[in-house]
Amino acid sequence: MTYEQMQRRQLKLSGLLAVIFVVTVFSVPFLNAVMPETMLTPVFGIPFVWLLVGVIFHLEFWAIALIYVTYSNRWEEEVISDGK
Amino acid sequence: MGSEVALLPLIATIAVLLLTMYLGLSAARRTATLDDYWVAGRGVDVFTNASAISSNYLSAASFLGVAAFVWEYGFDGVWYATGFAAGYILLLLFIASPLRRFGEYTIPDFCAGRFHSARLRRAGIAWTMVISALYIIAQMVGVGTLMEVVTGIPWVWGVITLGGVITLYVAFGGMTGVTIAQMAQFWIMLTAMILPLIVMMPKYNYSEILMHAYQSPPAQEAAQAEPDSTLTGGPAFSTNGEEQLSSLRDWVSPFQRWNLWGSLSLLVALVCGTAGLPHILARFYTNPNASAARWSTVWVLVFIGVFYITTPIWGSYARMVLGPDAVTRVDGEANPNSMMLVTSNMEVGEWALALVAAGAIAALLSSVSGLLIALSSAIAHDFYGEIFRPGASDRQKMKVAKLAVVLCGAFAIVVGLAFRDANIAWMVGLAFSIAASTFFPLLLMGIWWRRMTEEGAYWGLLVGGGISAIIVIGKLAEIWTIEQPAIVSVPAAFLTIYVVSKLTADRNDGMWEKLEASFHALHHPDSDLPKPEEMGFASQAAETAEVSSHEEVETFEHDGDAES
Repeated sequence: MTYEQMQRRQLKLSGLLAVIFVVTVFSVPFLNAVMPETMLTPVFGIPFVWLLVGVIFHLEFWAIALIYVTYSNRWEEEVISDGK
Repeated sequence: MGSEVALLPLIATIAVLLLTMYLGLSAARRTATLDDYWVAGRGVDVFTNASAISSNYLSAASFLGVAAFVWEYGFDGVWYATGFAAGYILLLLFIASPLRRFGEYTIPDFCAGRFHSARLRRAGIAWTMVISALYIIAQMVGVGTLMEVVTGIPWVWGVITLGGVITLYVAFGGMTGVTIAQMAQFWIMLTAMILPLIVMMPKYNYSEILMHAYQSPPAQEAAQAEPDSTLTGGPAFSTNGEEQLSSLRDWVSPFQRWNLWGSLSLLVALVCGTAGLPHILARFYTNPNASAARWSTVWVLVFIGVFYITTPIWGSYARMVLGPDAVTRVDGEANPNSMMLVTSNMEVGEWALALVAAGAIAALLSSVSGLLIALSSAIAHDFYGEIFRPGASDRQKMKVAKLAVVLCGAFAIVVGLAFRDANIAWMVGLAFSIAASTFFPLLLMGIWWRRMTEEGAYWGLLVGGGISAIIVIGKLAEIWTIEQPAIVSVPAAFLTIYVVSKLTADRNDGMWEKLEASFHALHHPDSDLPKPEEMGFASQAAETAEVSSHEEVETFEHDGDAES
């Protein structure tokens, strides 16, 4: 793999993960406005939106970070080993 | 608490100060070069840097303020807990590793190097100083408040003592000392956040208290309702239960503090602002390579994630068990930021109060030290070393660096004393909004959009920062009610960069080629590909200081002038 190919792949992956991140996080205020009661439905004894924003989002962030770094570093290793 | 001097919190505060001074000053003999002083020799491992970045980021506003915001406004406060962490996602996906690969010292370095422009360095210095100054004022006001509330030490002496300690160890230890101290400070903070909760939580069931709030009637209905005597029976509920009960359902619901657009704008400021804060970005230069910068960010997300998950629990616990006026009752005057101190003291005891105080002091020390590095590097490295006396020797630059830290420390102390009644949250919010509207668009587009031009970057900085300031000033002057500028200023900055770059399209610069050259210089030193230095671009390590020479800056300026 060349450096240019790696950079394009990284950008594509970053873009995809950023879209997932932005859509999930920024949709919540809209959902709160449109269906407030549903968003407050208790899940595991906690109003859903509290669980979602306070805990589940952090798990999502960790997953996004792990996916990005794993693939990014793997592609960089390929460029380093190919010497291009 | 209050005017009395509490012994355990005082001992805890002194212990944190002594530990910090020892760690910071012990690094003084390892700060022989400018690389050591500004970027800790670029040798900071992932765990240490992740702890240090987390500590640098978590100021007293995060440590005491977020939980207090949840206590006061309920769900809207939870957005802070998540938004502050969310900022690191964009930082990781788009900025951290290319910035490290760029291999300089400061953000103004990036502005100047990426666009070959001296005026962009000057603009970078100006915005770094504005953002860091706003941030440092808020922290120093926090220092005075905390020292007075926790230890009984008068405001003036609290600010002078802590300001003096920080200045001393930053001046001698530089980034190397700051890094070691920040690592220790982070683990003190996390322990202070979690340990009292572990003791408190078995007393009440978290989901049970939240569900009581959820099941309570909305405010208008509760006016006629009998108070629910089976609700979790903290002292607040037995005093004026009806009034408190009526607010619980509202408290657990969104939009109590901001409406829909206010919430969205806050999120934009937090998410984009984090990725534009100079004192945070500077820490990514301290990793040995881009891969380490990425892993550091992953661990930062884990560390601050664990930290922020606990803040709504603190806020809910205090609201449900102590009630909405608990802080006022105990303290005599309403100061929401003392909520965690009050709660830990009442529910666990003085040792927990001492621990929370130690955590808050650690949060302040770590943030102020990081801000001092950012401020003084803008003065000593960017202004003195690159503009005023580019030909100065390393020895002279080091002297000026230490002098700049002392001057910035004195500035911090003076503003801490002068702005006693300043609104801390507003100032930090403004710093985030300006960072989100200036450095974030510049970095994101400067790294990834190859056709971005110097003109686009310059006008983007001006328009983004300007709109933020205008909106805030307009709100203060009560011309309009918009409180959060980011939702307008951030898109405006991106749009300006795009339009102006398109209009000046012949002046683009090959950022990717430069990053590629830097990558190969590190991993394939024998390659025939052009070296970063040959492209007017800094390479990875210590020689960066020499590469950004006076001649080059002058050339860049000349080019810029010729084009305009």
